[in-house]
Amino acid sequence: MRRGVDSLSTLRQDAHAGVAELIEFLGAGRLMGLAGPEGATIRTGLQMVDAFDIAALSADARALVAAHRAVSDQLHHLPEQRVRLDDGWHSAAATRAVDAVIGHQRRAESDLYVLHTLTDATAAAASGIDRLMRSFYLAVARLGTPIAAETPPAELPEAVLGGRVPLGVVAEDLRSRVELFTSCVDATVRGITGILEILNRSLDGIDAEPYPGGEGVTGSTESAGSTEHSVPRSVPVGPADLAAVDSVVGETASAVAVPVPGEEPVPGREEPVPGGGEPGRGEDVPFQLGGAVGTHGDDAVTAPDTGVPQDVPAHPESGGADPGSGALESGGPDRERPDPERAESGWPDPERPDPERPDPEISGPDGPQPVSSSATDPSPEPERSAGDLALAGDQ
Amino acid sequence: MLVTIAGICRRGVSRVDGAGDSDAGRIAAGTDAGRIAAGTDAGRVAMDAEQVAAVASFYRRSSLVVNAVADDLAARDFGRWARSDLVDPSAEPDPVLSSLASAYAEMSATLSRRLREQSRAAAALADRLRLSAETVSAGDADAAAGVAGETR
Repeated sequence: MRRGVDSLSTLRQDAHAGVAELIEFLGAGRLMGLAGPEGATIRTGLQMVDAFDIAALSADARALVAAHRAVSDQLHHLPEQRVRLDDGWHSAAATRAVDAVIGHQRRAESDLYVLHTLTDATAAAASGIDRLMRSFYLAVARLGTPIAAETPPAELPEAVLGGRVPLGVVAEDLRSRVELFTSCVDATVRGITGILEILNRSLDGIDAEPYPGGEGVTGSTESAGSTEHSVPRSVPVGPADLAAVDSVVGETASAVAVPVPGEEPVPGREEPVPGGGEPGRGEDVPFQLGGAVGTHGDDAVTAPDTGVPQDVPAHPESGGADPGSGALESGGPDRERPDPERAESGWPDPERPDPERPDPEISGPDGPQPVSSSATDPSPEPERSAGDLALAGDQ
Repeated sequence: MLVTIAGICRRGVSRVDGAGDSDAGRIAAGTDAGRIAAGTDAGRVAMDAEQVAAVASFYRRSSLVVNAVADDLAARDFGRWARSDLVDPSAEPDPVLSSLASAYAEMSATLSRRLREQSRAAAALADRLRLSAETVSAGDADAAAGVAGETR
């Protein structure tokens, strides 16, 4: 893969030339009464390997590598955000906000792991198939070398008739070449198919796992859209409308005790709540209210618990966001664990079958593949461990 | 939030640093009663609004980046490697390779969908954080007005 497409195309040309000579040899053998496969059969075998466009798979791998780089660049800054939030915000609502941030981080890490696994799987598959094809082309190109006694195919019948080359030697030579070609095609096609099936196995694993915050995310997306509109409103309207502290207290209190949509007092204020505030506001309002209105610290502690659930069912959107953070904590880790295990156990497989299936010659080049894949396995761990360390450090 | 600060103000503000308008944008308030009851900073409310807004901005940016990646992946034609007809129109596509390629393409589509959902989640989180910061700031401003009104 890294040697470039040109060299592979050169190898392919050599292989085609070798096959052409093999077909010529077989034709000469038929003139001498030796049975052998038709030229079309030989060409079909070659086309089976040619049909795979390794350049396209390598391009897929490169696209995934670029995507992984972009996403991981973002992810590496997630732990830092939690620290900043921790430093810059202290309150019960801040605790909820940090929880939401951690939940998002876990979910994002899970996604990154999937992306990482797919990227490595694709890159390793491209590398392995590339080596398989190179080995195949090299072997097939050898089929065209002159037969025993360096007799070119055109002179072969004459050499046999003249007694320079025994017919048995020619028959055995042709048989071994055809056998070599057939087994090469077989092993290469099986190797390619096997590697791709392993790719699909990782696909099945990914598909089987539902996205933790899928439903919540969808809801939050809609809410996000409305939030953008509501936020600007709330900013100017909030301070302006809330001239009297008493009225503010009453309004907010109702927001806590009753589902947010039930807010009647200030229409302008109500918008932001269902809109984008869902979790964010849900976190803020109940907690702050509980602490402030509850008069006692103890009340403040209990108030959030009662206030939050009330808010959650109140907003379909907030329900989406809250589940996101809440479900993430429980579902996030569960998701992550299976992924790595599956991928790690799945990855070694790709390499194991490769050496087994292909011929010794072909399995040789595959040897390096385990190295690349094994090198990929540890990489996800460092990333995750780095995130965990960051989180642990924060705590 | 508004109520909280207002309530605190009414019950007695023990500490207010740089109320709303300060350069740092830091708001801190608490009640002695709350602290005593909890024995810690249970009643403490402090926010560096700029910091929280910066975090929200990060998630907004992150959402855009991840969404762009998801778009790129969604737009890409994964699994072309099995389409020999693209190279040689006369060639018949290998059914085995084709099925493998379609499964691979579906996997890539799944990945793209996951990233898109992550992008949406990041956008929603950014909005919530920003709204929270703005709400706290607005509440503090209201509380300041309320205090002034009482004084008046």
